[in-house]
Amino acid sequence: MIFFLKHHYYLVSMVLAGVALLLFALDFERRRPNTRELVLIAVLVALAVASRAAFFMLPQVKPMMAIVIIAGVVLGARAGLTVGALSGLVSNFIFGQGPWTPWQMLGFALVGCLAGLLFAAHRLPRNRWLMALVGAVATFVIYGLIVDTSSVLLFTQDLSWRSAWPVYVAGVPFNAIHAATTALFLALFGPMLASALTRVKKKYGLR
Amino acid sequence: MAYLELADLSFSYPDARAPALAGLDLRIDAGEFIVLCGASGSGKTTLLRQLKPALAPAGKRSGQLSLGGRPLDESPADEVGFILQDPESQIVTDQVWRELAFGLENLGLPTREIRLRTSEMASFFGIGEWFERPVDALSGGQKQLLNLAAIMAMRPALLLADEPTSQLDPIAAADFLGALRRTCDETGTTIIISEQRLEEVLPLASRVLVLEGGRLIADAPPAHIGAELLRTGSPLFAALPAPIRLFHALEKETASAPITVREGRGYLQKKLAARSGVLGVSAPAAEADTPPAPLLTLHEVYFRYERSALDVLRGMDLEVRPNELCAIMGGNAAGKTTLLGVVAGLLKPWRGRVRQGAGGAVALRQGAGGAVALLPQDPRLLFTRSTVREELEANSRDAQQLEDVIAQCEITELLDRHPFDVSGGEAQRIALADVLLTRPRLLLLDEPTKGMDAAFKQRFAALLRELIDQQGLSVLMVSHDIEFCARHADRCCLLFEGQITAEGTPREFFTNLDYYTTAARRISRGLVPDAITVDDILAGVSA
Amino acid sequence: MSAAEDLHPATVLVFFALVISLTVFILHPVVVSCSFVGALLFSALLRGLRATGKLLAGLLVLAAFAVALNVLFAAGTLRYGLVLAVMLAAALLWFSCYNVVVTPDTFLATVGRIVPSLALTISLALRFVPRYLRQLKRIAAAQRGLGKEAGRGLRARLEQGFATLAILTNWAFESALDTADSMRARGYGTGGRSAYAPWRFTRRDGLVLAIILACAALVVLSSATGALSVRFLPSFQMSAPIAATVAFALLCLLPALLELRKELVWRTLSSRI
Repeated sequence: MIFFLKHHYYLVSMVLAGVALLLFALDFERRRPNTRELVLIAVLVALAVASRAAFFMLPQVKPMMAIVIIAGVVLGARAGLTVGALSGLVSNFIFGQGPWTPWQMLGFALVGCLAGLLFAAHRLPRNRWLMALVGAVATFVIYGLIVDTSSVLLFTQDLSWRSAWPVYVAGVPFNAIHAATTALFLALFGPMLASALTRVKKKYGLR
Repeated sequence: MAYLELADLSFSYPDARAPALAGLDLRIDAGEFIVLCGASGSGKTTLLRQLKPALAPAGKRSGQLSLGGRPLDESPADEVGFILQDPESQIVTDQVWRELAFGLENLGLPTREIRLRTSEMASFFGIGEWFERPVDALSGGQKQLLNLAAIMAMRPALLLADEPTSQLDPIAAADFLGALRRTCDETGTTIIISEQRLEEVLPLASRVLVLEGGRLIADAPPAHIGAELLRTGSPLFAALPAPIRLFHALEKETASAPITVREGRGYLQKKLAARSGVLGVSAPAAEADTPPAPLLTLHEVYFRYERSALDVLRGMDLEVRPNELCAIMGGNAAGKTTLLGVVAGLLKPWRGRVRQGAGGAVALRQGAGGAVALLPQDPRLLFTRSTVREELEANSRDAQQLEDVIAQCEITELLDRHPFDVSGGEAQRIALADVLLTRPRLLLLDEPTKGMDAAFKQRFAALLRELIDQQGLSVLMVSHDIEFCARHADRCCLLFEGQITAEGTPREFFTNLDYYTTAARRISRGLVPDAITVDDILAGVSA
Repeated sequence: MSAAEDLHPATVLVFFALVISLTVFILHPVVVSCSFVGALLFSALLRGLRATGKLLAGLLVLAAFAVALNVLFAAGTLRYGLVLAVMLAAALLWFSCYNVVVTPDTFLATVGRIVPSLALTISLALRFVPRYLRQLKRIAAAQRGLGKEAGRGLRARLEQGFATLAILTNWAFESALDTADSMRARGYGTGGRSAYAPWRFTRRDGLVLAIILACAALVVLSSATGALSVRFLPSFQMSAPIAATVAFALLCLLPALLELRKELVWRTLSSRI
């Protein structure tokens, strides 16, 4: 068994990712979200996916992560998790599914969940700079690490520092841009989106 | 025992001073087709939502509501169906077949039953052709028909429809009402529909209910509703179809009024025959001899959206003159909205010229704000801020002007509201204020009267008149609303296949047309010359 | 029209899941080669030569990266790097075919039985996305109609983007209230929900699925017992029993064969007409 695990990092990691996503899916089903909650989550997912088009003249700006984070901040860790995972899935329905899909779902979900854990119920103040900082760090470290590690596993089917570091180094510029645009977006747009979402949360009669 | 019974039903919203519904008593039999009318805010939507427990808003309710002999709240989920106003936002899924199945899945029906019912509905409503399409590929009228089919698949005994045609163009609206009528006739479903535009729906009704301030002020068959409203002195009389208004202006006794154009024409023929056939002739108003120099001229303009696409505008010639309300009419896909885009400078024609202010004193600078401003069909496309005040202040450079515009558009009371928390008519006024703050010389309006009630249309027309006469604005509007254009425009144009095919003052314009014209004209054609409104007919008859 | 559209979506999903995971996880020279050839043929039939060629060019870069990474940085051999590169190319080719054959619609209908609320949420989101894209265009036009032109500078563009997104956000939340009402008006959330899918599982599906499962089972069995195995270090050793090879080759060629068969049937039919 140990031999098997040692030589099938990719299989094992894929199964783990699959189990994590399945657990999350079953949790969502078990809670039986009410109609408005479900619709609100769908709206946020669609906004996260479509928001890219609002910045068609600035192709590097992809506000998806920022919207996932705001969802977590206002609606809590569970909603952040759901919006994150589904945004990853739905955007790949449009741009093409691949072996990256589960990893991206996991990355977005964990960042959304973290944002909820930190900011929901006003544990941390919803200050634009603080949100930007958390967003940048989470994007770079959590999302970047997960997606890059999945590339290492896919490319080498092995997990050793020797083969991993070139992939991580090659990923740095992409992750840095992703983190920077997320931070920029949160700093400029975060409070507005958060207040709009707070208003809607009340209007939808959600706790 | 009536099918639906309301006894002393009252309802108040949580923070409201006055009740939204007050002491309604109503009995409706199975299979009736009820038309519910009233101005916006009269309680139509509130009443309909009280009849569908799943959609009933929070608030205080008193009185009895029973359906089929049981309290309404105990009725099963599929007993009452509900169609909302906006065809687009009430569609839940992305595929037509999935949408038809949605309600049936909620009932927990097995696959075989769902397959049977979806195919049955697709055949009944003739949607087989687009059964496998994504919802996104449908037109507005098809979407609303899909909503109807998706609800009827659940086989409700009572169908409620809240202004279902207000967002549709006249042809699609007539199609939708036809489908509704068939549903009622062929399945015996009881239907209650609320509407602003009564011309098409009234002939279908078995009874008309009129609400005013949450009270039921009239309840009569369509042929007698005019008399009822006259008796109570309700301003809603003005919103009734032309034949009814004509009838009550000429007759004093309360007999059955004509409802359709055909009946109205028959009535008028008889009336005139009794007077030995003498036709009054109303003299058309004398035209100004030379039209003033145009503010903007379109000369042989051709426009297409893509190189490989067909031309939407094909050699379009148009003059917009100073201080006039010019109305462009025409069917769907005639290029009306495209025309506005070209005039606003948003779209560049590939051939032809848009020349500005050839003789006018003010040169129009297009697209850069200031001279030409476009009010879109959906006013909410303009709102960026979280209160109306912030919204207007962001667009204003001059405090005095801001104050004037706020007073003019009557939005003082809305200033602290969120621009999305106001009614449709209010949103329209806020958007108009937004647009006026850019100090336009030429105001472009895209279907401005869509969804407005009759009273608000009057106020809107008065506001436009004030802008034109006192502030020297010109207004170019595209519209399906024939009656509004006939009464309020200075000049009407018919757009067809990307060209203006007819043009003139409303009187010249509408008397030249026999079908695409006002109801009054269709009633009086060949009987009273040059009449395009009910008032014209009356003047002709009494002359 | 792909031959896959004549099959039940579950059959198609099972095929892709099996063929991709076997390719990725068994990582055997014979397996990845069969897989690559099968995927290439299917892609060429499904998406045309030009699109497949374009994709291949992109895959070549990726494959070069994989080889370099394994040979230069990991303790791998050139052989290992090549096998990995072919595996990657095969997997991505299969995914590109998957994206053509399995529409969100078929995917949702299949998972809708297991996770109904989630499938409905995804379906709603998929319906909203094109609506929002269209609405974004309308908002931009309305803003320009008011004379609010997007400037050229970075700041002006960002501001314009935010304003557009702010309008879209508020509008989206508002119109979704109608959607929620419409769902409740049609009995959503009142009780047990069933999942409807218009597809029928036919005998043909049963046959195809049986072939798929039998082939896959043989390959898995062969790999688990060590009959189908490969070792790259210290020296390269490989064994590939004929039965497992044939089974996997059949599995990989199945979609291309079905596609060709359909093409032939239609050719002969239309020549007779």
